[in-house]
Amino acid sequence: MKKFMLAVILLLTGCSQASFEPVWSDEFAAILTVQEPGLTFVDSEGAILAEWAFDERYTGGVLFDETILLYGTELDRAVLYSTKTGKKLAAWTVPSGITGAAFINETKEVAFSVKKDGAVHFFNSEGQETEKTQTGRYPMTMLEHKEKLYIINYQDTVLSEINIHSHKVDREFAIPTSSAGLAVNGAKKELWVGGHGYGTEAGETIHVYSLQTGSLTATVDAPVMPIAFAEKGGYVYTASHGSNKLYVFNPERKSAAGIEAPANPFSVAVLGNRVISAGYDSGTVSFYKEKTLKKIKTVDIGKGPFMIFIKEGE
Amino acid sequence: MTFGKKLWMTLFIFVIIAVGAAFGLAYMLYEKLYVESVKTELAEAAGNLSNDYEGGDLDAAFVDQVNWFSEKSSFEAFAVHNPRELAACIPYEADYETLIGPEERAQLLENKMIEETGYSERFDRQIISVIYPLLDEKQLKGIIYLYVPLERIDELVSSLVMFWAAGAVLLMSLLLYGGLKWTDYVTKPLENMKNAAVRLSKGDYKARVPAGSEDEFGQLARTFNEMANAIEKEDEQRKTFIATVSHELRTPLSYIKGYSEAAINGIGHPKQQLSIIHRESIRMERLVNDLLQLIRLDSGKMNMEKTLIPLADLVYRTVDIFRLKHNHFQLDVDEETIVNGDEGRLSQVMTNILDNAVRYSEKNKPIYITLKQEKNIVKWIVRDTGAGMPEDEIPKITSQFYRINKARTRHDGGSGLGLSIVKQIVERHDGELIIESAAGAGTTVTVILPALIKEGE
Repeated sequence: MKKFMLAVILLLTGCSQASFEPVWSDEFAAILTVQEPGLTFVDSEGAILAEWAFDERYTGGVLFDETILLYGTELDRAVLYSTKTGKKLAAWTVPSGITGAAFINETKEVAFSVKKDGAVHFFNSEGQETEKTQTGRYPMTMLEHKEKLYIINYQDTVLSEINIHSHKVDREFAIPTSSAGLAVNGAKKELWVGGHGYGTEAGETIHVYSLQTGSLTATVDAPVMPIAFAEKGGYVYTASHGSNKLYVFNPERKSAAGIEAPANPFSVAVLGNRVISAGYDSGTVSFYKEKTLKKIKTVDIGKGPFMIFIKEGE
Repeated sequence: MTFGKKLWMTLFIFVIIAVGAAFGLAYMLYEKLYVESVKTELAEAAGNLSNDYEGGDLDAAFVDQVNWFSEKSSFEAFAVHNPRELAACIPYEADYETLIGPEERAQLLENKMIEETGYSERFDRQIISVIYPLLDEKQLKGIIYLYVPLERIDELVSSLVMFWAAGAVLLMSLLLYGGLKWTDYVTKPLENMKNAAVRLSKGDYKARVPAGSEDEFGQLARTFNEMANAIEKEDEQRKTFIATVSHELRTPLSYIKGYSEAAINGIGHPKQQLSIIHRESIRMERLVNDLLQLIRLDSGKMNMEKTLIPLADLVYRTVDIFRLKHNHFQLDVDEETIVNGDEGRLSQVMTNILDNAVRYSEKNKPIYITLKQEKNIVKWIVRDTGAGMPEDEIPKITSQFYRINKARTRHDGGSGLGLSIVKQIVERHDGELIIESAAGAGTTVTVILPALIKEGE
């Protein structure tokens, strides 16, 4: 009898907790909308798997281990949801003013870039802050590659490289201010840095740095304002939000294709053999063939899609 | 502060408020209408310019076209296609001031035009602006920005301010001059009345005010004049009364003085002299008594001790007293009549009326006395067939010291106050005195008193 009662209580308390529609698929893209706060899960063919709507305005997140951690620039806590169950797992107390996040698989740590103190804060998987590293003014875009964490300081002229074990800044790259968007071309050991441009001057080029020397090795034209990247098999995909364009560059950094993106794209991602881009102004997500960027489908998704998170199948 | 000044001040304040309000309203209306019309023109121009946009990226030709328009028209106009200026980077934080904000961008994306009036940081001045979206599908490819500095409107308004100010001064002068005249017109009758009242209070009873108008002031002036008339009449009556009383008292006094001197000096027949002195003393006494009584009645100080009186008894008793002087009475008396009255005073009424009737009748002519009740009144009628009087004398007969035949005064011995007293007493009994007469045909005096109605009647 006691066991039965316990089961009933657990069931009741379980039901009372807010939970969203679970995502059964192992492979999906999750698109975060900020004007109508929510997450929309789609598969590579553009079918909607689940739609979550939030009361709070989350401006970013990071996907890892079948969970998604969401933060807001104005919020002082981050929430962890299970994508498999749709349930809220935890709420982490974090500094307010978070502008970016990255999951470091080797150390199972989450790094938050915080604009207020110009530092990157490291949290363990329990949600406890472990380290804090000063980088520059307004750290924002972050990317982890081979035990290094690369951070663009948005209102600064340096890109910081942090060793994920020591949490120390190993190197600094000279970059233009208002840079945004990072990609690594592993084969060529290159770091691609996008940007909005400076002041009223819209940026039109991607700056390519050597991961070995840390110096600028090339620039790639991708007008106007390339700020989001995705990479697969040496091909780099770029969303230029100023001209509503998507570009793909082959491993030789040559433009392989360019196509109209959804209006004001802030994100691009690769899921399977599909390239996905979301238009902030149009509220749509478009699906393209990889390498050729042939448009396959456009899906309405909600106001202000801003980020795309990819969960690749096993 | 005089009433005139207060009136003028009030008018002055009203004029200032009215002119100020009119000025403010005109300014507001002008600005609003002008700004609205400028906005409409801006919107039309922006719409026309945008018609030439055929989709796709904004080319240099289009930008040049807008610039050309800006040069040729009175508006400032330019086309913008730089996404940095169009707040395309929001939600990324911008490191500079964009031309439009995120809310405006959202509105433009819905193909809605934006109209704004106010300070622009970009242009560092007050402007009226219109922003027109250039959309290709859902992409904001650019905008057309048209504006007019608000200073230009203010300059226009400020040139009009001179006219307004001149108009306001002229209007205020006219209104105040008119107000001054009007205040004079209003306060003039009041001033006249004040002066007249001062003259009245100082004893100038001839003081009157002109009462031409039909308004409240005219009415007040007429009332004032009526009051002045009444005061003047009262004053004259008082003077006449005093003169009459002095005269009436002097006559017997001169007799008394003359005959007593003669007696002292042993001239004439002392008995006859004493008789005359005695007669005149009685007359004086009667005169003084009558006067006293009249004054007490006049001032309302005489108490009426009312009881139930059978009037028939009173009539019989009075008639009996007069039978020595006149023996031809014809009575028609309803013995049931009872009134509520002061027996002494009513007796005096009867006495005074009969005294007059007897005095002016010849001895052998009958005097008719009727006493009867008609419904709720008692009529008490004394009719003689004596000398009578002209009809125009009747209203004066109850005046004090009035005699129809002035020459008979000394001989018939009346004080001239009898009917005045009668009238007063009758009125104090809520009754009425009616006198009918014709010269040579006799006089009928009717006293009407309220009857005492028995219960059940």
